[in-house]
Amino acid sequence: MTSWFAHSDLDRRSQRQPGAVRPVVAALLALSLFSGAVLAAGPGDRFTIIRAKKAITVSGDEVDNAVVVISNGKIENIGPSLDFPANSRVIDARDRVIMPGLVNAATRFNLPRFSRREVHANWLAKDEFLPHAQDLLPFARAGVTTGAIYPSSGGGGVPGRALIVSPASSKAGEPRILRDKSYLYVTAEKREWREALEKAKKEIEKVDKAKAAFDEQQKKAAPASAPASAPAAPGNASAPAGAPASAPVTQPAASQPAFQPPPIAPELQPLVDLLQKKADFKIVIEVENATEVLGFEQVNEKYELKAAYVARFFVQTDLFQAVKTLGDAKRQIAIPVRLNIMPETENRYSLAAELSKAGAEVSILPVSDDEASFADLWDDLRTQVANGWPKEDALKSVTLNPAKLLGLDEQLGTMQKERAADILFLDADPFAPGARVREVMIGGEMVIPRKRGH
Amino acid sequence: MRSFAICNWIVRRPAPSRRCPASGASSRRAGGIGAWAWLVAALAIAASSQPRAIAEEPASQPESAPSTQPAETQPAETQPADSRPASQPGSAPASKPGKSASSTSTSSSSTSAAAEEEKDEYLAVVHGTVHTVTGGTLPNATVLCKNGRILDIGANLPIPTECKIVDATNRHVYPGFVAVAAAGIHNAPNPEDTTDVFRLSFELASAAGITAAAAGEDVAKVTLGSIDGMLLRRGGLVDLSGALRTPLGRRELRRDLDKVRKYLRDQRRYELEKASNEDAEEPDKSVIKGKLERYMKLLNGELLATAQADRVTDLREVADLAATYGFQVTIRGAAEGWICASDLARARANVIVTPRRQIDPTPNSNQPTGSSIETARILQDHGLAVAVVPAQPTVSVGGLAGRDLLNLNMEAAFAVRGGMSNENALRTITIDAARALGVEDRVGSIEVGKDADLIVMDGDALSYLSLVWTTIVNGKVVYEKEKSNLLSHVRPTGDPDQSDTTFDDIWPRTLEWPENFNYVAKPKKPAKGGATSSNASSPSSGPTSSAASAPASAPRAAESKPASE
Amino acid sequence: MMLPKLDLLARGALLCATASLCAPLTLAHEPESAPLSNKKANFACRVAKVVVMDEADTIINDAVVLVSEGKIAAVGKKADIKIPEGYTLIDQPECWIVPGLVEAHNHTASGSSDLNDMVYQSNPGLDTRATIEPANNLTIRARRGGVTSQMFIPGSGTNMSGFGTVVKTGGDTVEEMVVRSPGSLKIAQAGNPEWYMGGNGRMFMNWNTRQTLLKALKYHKAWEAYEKGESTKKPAFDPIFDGFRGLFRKEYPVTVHTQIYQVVLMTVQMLAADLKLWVVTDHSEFDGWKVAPIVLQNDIWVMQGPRGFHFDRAVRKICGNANGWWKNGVRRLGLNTDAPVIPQEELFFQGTMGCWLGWQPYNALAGVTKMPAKALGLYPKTGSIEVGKDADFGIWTGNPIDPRSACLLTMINGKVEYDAADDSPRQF
Repeated sequence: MTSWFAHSDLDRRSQRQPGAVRPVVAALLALSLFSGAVLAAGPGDRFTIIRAKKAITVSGDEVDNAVVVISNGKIENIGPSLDFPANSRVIDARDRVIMPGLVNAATRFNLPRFSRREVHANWLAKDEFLPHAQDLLPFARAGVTTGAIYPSSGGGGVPGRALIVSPASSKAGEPRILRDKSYLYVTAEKREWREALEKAKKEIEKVDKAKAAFDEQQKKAAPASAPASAPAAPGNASAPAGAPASAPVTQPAASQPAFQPPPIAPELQPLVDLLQKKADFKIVIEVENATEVLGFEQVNEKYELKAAYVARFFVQTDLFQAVKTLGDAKRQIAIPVRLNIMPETENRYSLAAELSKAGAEVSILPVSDDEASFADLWDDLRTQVANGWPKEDALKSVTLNPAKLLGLDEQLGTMQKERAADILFLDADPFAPGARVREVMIGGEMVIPRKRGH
Repeated sequence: MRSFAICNWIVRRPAPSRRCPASGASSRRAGGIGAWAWLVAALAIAASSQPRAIAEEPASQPESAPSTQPAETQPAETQPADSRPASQPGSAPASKPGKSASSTSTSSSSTSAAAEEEKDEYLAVVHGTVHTVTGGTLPNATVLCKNGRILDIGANLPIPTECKIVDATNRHVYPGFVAVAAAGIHNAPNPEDTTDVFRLSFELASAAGITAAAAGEDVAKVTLGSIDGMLLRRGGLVDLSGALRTPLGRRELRRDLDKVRKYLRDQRRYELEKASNEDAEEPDKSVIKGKLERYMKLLNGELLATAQADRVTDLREVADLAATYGFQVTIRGAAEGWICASDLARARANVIVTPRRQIDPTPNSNQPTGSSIETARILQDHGLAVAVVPAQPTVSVGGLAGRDLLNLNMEAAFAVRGGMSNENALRTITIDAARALGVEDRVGSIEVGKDADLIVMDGDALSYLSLVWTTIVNGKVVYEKEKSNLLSHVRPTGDPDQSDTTFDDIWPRTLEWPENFNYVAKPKKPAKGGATSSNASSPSSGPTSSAASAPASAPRAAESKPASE
Repeated sequence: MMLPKLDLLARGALLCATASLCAPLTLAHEPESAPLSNKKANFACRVAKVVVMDEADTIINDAVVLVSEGKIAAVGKKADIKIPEGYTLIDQPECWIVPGLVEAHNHTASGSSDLNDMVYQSNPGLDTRATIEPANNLTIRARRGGVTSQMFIPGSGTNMSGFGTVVKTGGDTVEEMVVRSPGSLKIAQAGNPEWYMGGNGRMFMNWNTRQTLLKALKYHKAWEAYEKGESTKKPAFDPIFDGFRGLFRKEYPVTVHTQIYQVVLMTVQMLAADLKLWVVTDHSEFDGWKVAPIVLQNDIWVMQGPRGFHFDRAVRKICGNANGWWKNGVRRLGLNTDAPVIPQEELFFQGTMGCWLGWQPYNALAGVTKMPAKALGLYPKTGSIEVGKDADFGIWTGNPIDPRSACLLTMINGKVEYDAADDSPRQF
């Protein structure tokens, strides 16, 4: 029997997030010390245990006869034949293969679309989203446990910030919002995008100019008050570091008006943040063909930006010609799952496989946003694998890679410790013909529970 | 474009020191606190675990997802961008981190360090017969290109060690063809931003040897596979066709041009008088607005006028306008230009002609009318720059071969039919075409300093048996016949006498017809012509070898059965 | 008979003239001669090369062609042929004589009007002869391109749009122009007639064509039986089907508008294999050459055009159609323009494009002269420069397949129908 201690992840994890992990570790420790008889935790901390035929962790090796320990909606441990406390809730899935829930990097789910082309980077997809009105369970049934909803766009402009949701929460039946301000979605053409950035740059210059004028004014005003402020200045400078920082600042502020920067157009604020490297979000650009990729790469290099791409439809050509560009730059890209046709030929090939081979980080999207397409995702993935895409890459493309694209790879996307307990239960290996998602767990809760007799 | 490239190159280089503080801190932490220490600590606060939903901790986001947070934020925060003076001369090149925050400008791109490491790109087309168009033909010569420009032309040029070589032995090197009218190759307006550089029409144009084409009012290059260096000239054309369509329009145009001319003259007079005469009155510039602004540029020589005109009367009107107001015009059509060639010559017009296009003479006219295949030659003899374009200015895969830009050189061949020399006919699709678009300083001939837009052909540019083997745009190979599917199967060795492959690779994948196939008639007699289904599939046998000696083999199958009755 | 001295002078003058390729044809015949075009006389043409287009594919350099009474009287080396007294000399020592081009699919002898009388989906009784307009603009243009014979057929608006007429492009009356009437029966298999009355499919069109032909065959057999005495009952005369009797006697071909390979396939099966007709498939484009093996088994003539190539999207290749047929073994191969789709004077250019995509120039030239003449059964009369045939030829400045060569003179039935000397500057 393997003790929980035997699992080697402890040290690494403790380095990463000591504060957050500490209580958990303690719990585990207690568990092992008292052979699981007594747990100091309350009823809310009751462990959930999944016993499965096989666990596909994505982050590491597959684990046969896996036991997954879940607490507070997170995976606490995973391994073969782990011991677990007696009062745990055990989900017996020894006839199931389990894997992390699917992550969709760009979708509308079943949200309606609006047509709006302007640049308004400050708008939020969240404002289009009414949690109580959206039934996302059908998507969960297809295995999607996390999805980024991009703001509606009419095929141009910068429509705003995406929203990350989970189809169902652990508490109520409503979708749960994971991030209300995720990536900035760009549907502009190259030229439009460049002009938007140029406008944002103008905004920065506007502030800079105002600041310079203000400083100039201050300098002119300074000689008048020089006798008074001159002795004060060295005093401030020599003040101990531990002294309250506000004191010296407020003193001159009393005599001088503080600089009031001119307001920045709100629709450009996120772009200004990007240009000033203050942004904590990514850019995701919708592209239609290879030329657009080259164009955006060029513009983004000029402005020292980096973007991920999403291709939802291909117009004249597809991304075949941009594979090298995307691969060399190791870009993140989300593409619909389907075999592509070499431009102007009838030769089919797997774009996903080519992109992965070249070095790009591929996330897979269903061919469209309707529920049927989500349900077909698995069949489509199998086709891709049959056309030369390694299974491992295919698995990552629906779990870890989109999680990375969304910046959530520390929270979800794999089955390892400290990741959200978003778990799919399949009746067979995911790439086996006919394998289906039977049950779905999101955040430790069985959102799609097992049906009797299945 | 080039300065952008340099700038980008700098930016792309990773700054090695960025992540140092963070990683240093974490390793220190890891080393300092051992696993047993954790054990003890954990026991103490075992019960106090807190559920943490992801959404509830936005504050931890930067920490948990470092990839979303550029590491450059830190220097930017400690030294806020907007508090710094906008420009600190000298400081930017010296320290790379200082450049991070808001300095998206490209001003620091031309630092000497960057220039040194920026590699020069060389390309040499060697051992070809070089048709410079403007400077004669050089046998067995080399064209050496550097960074997209022609550096040198001549025999036995020293070639740099790192240089792409295009072997043109037994081949001919021409400047890329210029399509003076084109639709569907580039998108317009703003071709450089809107054109898909991988589209089929781009590849077709490259295969046809076209390296530059009109794109709306702009002129752009066919940079297959690259978005760099596409735009050749922005909006240099004023189309007067609309204004000239009706008599009323013509009168209005002349009135407008009169206004502009008067203003320009007054302005010039004022410039002259200003020094000596204090009372000199500056002309009112406010009258110049709207289309008059464009007309002013036209009369200043900044823009080229174009006009569609075919009939003598129309041609004379355009010629008179150009001569009267002294602007440069490019006339499209000019079907009856042979009749009024001297008028056009006096106006120093450029002409875009489709030699093959026919207009029958007007019946009962008391003066010569109708088109002539010799028009192009006659106009050229009168000293006009004549450019040639097919009637259908697109690249088409519809199948009606030889009537579009895919065979631009064939239209020039029709100019030869009209009496033009081969050399002059070549000018009509190269240098004179470039002149008609106002880009003759960049493209249209092989000259030192011009853009390295070259094509390598396996024969005379105007021969119907010649194909483009290599197309070079901006010093980069964009099309190679062997590597592109389009025409690789046609004369694969370049020898016109040698037959190409059969189409077995296309259809049927195998030429085996099943025994019970419905439409195979009873084999009453062996197939004629020596080509049965079996030997047609092997390229070396049957039709291929017999085709090489065509005249001898042709008649066997051709016995005229019905004719004998 | 010409004096040698004069000959030399003339040669010198012509060297200068042809060097610039543009000078009007200065003819070194007797100074008193009237313009050639008004004269039906005996001609002696001295040229650099005669492309004979006979069965042996002879080419004669430094040759003389004698024309007498509208027929070719002699062809041979300059040294071997003595120019008789009273012949008008056409001395073009740098030019080629090429048989008059023969067009197997043309709609312009009516000046391109009355192309389609779409009365029924099959209109067997119609005949283009009724629409011929001698010396219309398009026909005159055809002469400038060296075209001397045309199969003038109705359009492809219906499955069976009527009988075509073989015409010469020369002549000022219908009688002068017509070589054979009916010239052929025009059948359009698919690729246009589906638009009749809002739309038919290939199923109906095939049935319709077959039924019409079977009706005609029944009529023909009834008459044949009567004529042979096998039946005493004289069938009723039917003007609609009487023209078909020549078709079944193989006096003239059926000219079939075909497009994709399936249509060629159906044509071969129905018309050649089942009904045993003399079949010329026109157009034969797109990927029609896929059916080459079956075409070979059925002795069908293939006339290719106006589309010179097929862009195969499966493999992104530009495939020359003429070359496609040739490479797959079809030698009974000619070219057509479908004028006015491609201008009738540019028949040679169909060959140019065939060669651009891999065909050989001689085959292409045969494809616009000998081959269509044979396909239409005209070869005993025209299509080559052989003694006794109609004097139909063009004098070209070089290989007609090269668009840089121009036709300077076109002779039809021994009459100069186009002379660049009267056409300065040349229209084509």
